[in-house]
Amino acid sequence: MKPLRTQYVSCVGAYVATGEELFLAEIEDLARDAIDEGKRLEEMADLHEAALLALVENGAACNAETIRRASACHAAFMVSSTVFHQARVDLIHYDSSRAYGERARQRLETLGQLIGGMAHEVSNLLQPVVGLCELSLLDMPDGAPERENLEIVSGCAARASGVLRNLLAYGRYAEPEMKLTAFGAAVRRSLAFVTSVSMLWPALTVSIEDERSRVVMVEEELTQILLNLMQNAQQANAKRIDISVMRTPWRFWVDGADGVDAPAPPIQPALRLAVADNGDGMDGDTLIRASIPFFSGKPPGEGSGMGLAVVGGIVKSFCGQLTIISQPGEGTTVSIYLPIDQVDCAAETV
Amino acid sequence: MNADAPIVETAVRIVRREDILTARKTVRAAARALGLATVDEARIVTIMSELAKNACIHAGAGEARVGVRSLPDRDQILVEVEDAGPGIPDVSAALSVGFSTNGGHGLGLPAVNRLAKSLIIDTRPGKTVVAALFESARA
Repeated sequence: MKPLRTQYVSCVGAYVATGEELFLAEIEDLARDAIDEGKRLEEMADLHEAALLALVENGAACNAETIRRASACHAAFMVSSTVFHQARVDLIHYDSSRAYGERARQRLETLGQLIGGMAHEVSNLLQPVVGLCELSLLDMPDGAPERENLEIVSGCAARASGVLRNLLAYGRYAEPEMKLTAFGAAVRRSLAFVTSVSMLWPALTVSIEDERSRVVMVEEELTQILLNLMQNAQQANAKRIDISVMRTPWRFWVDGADGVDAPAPPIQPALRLAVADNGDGMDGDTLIRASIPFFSGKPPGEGSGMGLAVVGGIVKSFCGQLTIISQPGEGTTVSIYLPIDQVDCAAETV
Repeated sequence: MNADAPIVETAVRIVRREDILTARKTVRAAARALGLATVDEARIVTIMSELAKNACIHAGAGEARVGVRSLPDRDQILVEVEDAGPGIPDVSAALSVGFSTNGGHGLGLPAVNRLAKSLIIDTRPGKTVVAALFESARA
């Protein structure tokens, strides 16, 4: 291809001689191509001088029409190159601002997920603080010297929960909704997630007898239950964990209705999730304290002591019950009983 | 616009590349008749050139109209190109830099938008009219 200068000089000569629009259109295309090829505007500054000198050399008439046509060529080149140069600059700004916006968006998204996850965790940890403070206050006689302190603890924990709830709501990490869920299938999904978190789990067997029966629950919290129980087993040196879901009749005792005169609640259909390990197990004393928050049988740094307390809190919020069977050297079995949805039960009896 | 000022209108049917040149010549002649500066003449011709090319590329053909109006303090040239193509699906995207549906540079409409005083796009499948108003203050 001929150099830009040669082509421009030739087009100007042709337009001055003929006045044909075609040559002006070609000059505009030349300018666009030059910008496309990355030529700088100042590199084109002397093009027109070359074209005018060529006109003189070729004996063009020195009159108003020649000047006017030569100027039309120059204007066509300048307008075209300026417009396309500006479009290129805009495009570069557009691309870089879009890339910057995308990076910023990704960082914010990651930060949001991190904050959402933390707020959720801390919120769960605060539940037993609030709950146990209230229980202790109920048992505490009026005027007890510790009462005032405990009320402050309770109030602060409740306020902290409120702050976290607002934060979660703002970030659309709203409190997970209780939903009627097919429990066996949900256990499978949660286990798929939990087992992907670590490569170091003990050998795991899973037996799900009932896939379809539904219970009212929050699936994310089921995941938390399984994660906590499996971590407990792992830290108790278990070599294997057996997880099972089966259907069983169960009597759901209501808190506070365990007095001698209280009528026994009816037996109703339930699902039992059992997490059994062959780890160190616990003696009776440890077992009793196991569901108390911050109690831990593990060496310092290995556990927060919150595992079973958190599990207990979640199970309670699902209207379920928790039992633990354990003996030193014999491992531990944690069973969670959840009532099967009555609508499901009714549908089955029809 | 001032209703008293007469509008002189010329229309050019655009089918082939030569017709784009005719449309350019028409608007150039109008600019010269008004005594516009050479650089303004180049600007309005660039507007016409881009709109006429768009009609050829996207609709295969079109019609270019040039309207001229002289007001006491300024001159106005209206370049209007109409085609029967598929229409512009997303006008704001078409006006943004770097957008192109035909694999070209995609500089056409943004360039026109930059050069014109105002740009009106009326588009739907089967009929698209792009009108660019160019204005030049009288010396």
